[in-house]
Amino acid sequence: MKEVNSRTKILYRIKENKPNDKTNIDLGQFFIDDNENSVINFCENLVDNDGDYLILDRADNLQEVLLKEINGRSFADLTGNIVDHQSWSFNGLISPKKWSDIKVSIINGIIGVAENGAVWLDDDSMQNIRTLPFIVDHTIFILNVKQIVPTMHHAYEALGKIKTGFGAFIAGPSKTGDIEQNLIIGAHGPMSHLVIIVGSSDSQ
Amino acid sequence: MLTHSQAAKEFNKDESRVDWHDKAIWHLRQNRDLGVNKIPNWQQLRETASEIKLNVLSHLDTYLEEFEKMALSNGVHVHWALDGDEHNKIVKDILEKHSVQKLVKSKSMLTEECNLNPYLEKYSIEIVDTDLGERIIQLAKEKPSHITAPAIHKKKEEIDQLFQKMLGTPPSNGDAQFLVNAARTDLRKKFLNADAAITGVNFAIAESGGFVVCTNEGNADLGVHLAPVHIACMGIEKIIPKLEHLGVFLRLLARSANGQSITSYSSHFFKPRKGQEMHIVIVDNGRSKQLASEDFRNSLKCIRCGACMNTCPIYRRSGGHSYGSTIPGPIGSILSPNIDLKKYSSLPFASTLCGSCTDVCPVKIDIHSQLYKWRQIIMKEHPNRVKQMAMKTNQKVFEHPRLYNIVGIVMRRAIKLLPKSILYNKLNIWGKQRDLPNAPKKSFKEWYNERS
Repeated sequence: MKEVNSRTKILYRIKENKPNDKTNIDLGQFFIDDNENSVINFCENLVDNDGDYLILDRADNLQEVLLKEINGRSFADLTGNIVDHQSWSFNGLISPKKWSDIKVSIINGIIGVAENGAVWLDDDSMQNIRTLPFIVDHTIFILNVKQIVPTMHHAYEALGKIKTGFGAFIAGPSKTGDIEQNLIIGAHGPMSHLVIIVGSSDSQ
Repeated sequence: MLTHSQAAKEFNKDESRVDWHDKAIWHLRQNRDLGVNKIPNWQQLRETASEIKLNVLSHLDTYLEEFEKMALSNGVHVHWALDGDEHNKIVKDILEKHSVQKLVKSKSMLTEECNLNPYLEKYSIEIVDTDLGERIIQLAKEKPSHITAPAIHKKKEEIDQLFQKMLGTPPSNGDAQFLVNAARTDLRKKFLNADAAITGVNFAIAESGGFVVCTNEGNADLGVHLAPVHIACMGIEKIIPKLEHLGVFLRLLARSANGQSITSYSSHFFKPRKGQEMHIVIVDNGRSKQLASEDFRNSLKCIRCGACMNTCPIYRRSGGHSYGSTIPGPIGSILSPNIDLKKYSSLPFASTLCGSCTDVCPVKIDIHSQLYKWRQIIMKEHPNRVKQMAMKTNQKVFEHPRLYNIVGIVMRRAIKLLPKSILYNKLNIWGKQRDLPNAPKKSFKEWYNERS
């Protein structure tokens, strides 16, 4: 009952006290950037955020590249690009507490943002294993050049009405500056972060 | 409680530490400039963010109702708290329902404001702050001194000693990489064994009932995605109307804080994962009162980036703890008097009114004008007798030209002849940190008359 009261009280007070502004908000002015240098910008800004990138002209040799990156560590591939080796399997019986044993994750990105190197993931691309890109030591994201947009405005436009239960822009590895502002990579989760961009930029 | 100037005086006793602190904070401001300059239409972006926030304040009740409706339909539980006490009780009740004993919490200034940690500890719930800076000050039993860098006042050697004592680490001579690794190992265990996770909220979206949490460490996500219960605590002003508005705020937030283009993780929560329970606690705690004031309501636009403290010459040289409030610096000095005018009456005076805070604010809050307005209210309600007397005396002197001439002659001699101990007496507030100027031999009037 108390809860209902507080809700009513808060909403009543706001109604009494709020200003009356009718300014029209227009975001159109922010869609000025074009896609011309998006891939280069994406890569530069990703490196600024302590991430790495690889550009592959074609997806043919993706498995080979991934296996080299994994370098014998335990991995979970949610992209289906690795067929010759056993990926970690999540059959619901495995406790999340065991997930610290997974060292590398491979996940498809949905959108890449040129101005900050961020990659958007959702429940579908994470196959509902939301913990995965946050708990491993090394994250690999696969992105097609066509998925890269210039700014955050373009990214939200492309996402439209988001239907996912959870989604995230991930722009680099886990890091902290909390000890005298020394930048340290690997505060809690990933110590390295790689985006593999597939398809040459000419195909845009 | 000490006034800001008394606490600042303590901080200033160690001059080399003041210099170190000043430099560390200025570093953030410099990085902010580098990040901001990469965006061609930064000023329009600030203007738009400010307009969106004004729109939010103008429709706050309907946006909150819309947010609640959408969150409920997403399977999220929504709670409302009038004040900090009610917020704490709601959180405790949820935790008790799930028999939670171990709790991880990512950075949330709101739970600091509500004093959640000491409250839960009374109920024997282990609460672990997982942001590294917050963890450091939790272990040191201190309060955050900055809103985005809570342990920025601590030197690495001090953190080294703290970890030796609290985590049993070997001495490392303040090796930051080693200390982060030690904290990582310790906190990973806490994440894996937590019964519930608490996070703050950076932005809550009315049209979708979702909310966004931004971190660089990934600590919020690691806590939330592993624990069976997620409680997100937000002030009523965190609402934004639409998803597309996130484009504006996520471009502004990290750049304003430290020049990063975006934080490593910007996580959007809409629905709990399968088997998880998600709660949102919406807290007022004086915000709806602040909304009523035309002069001060703009302070509710704040997105907690910390740019105003990084640029503030007073903050950098007095330290966050000297403010004695949950949120320090210029923005804290206009938010806190609304919570307790008497307790925080010295804060609006902790400023040179240079206006740099206003210039860097990503949502264009007129911070320095609000500081000035608070001063006027405070002087009316808590007048300073000595200053009042001095101003009255000045008024008398300026009203009577002959008296003015006589006082002028007397003072020019007095400044030259009187010993310092008498000149800098308790009534001379102005002379507390300043030297009086050398008195000229003649007044301007005398000099002018001699010429002609």
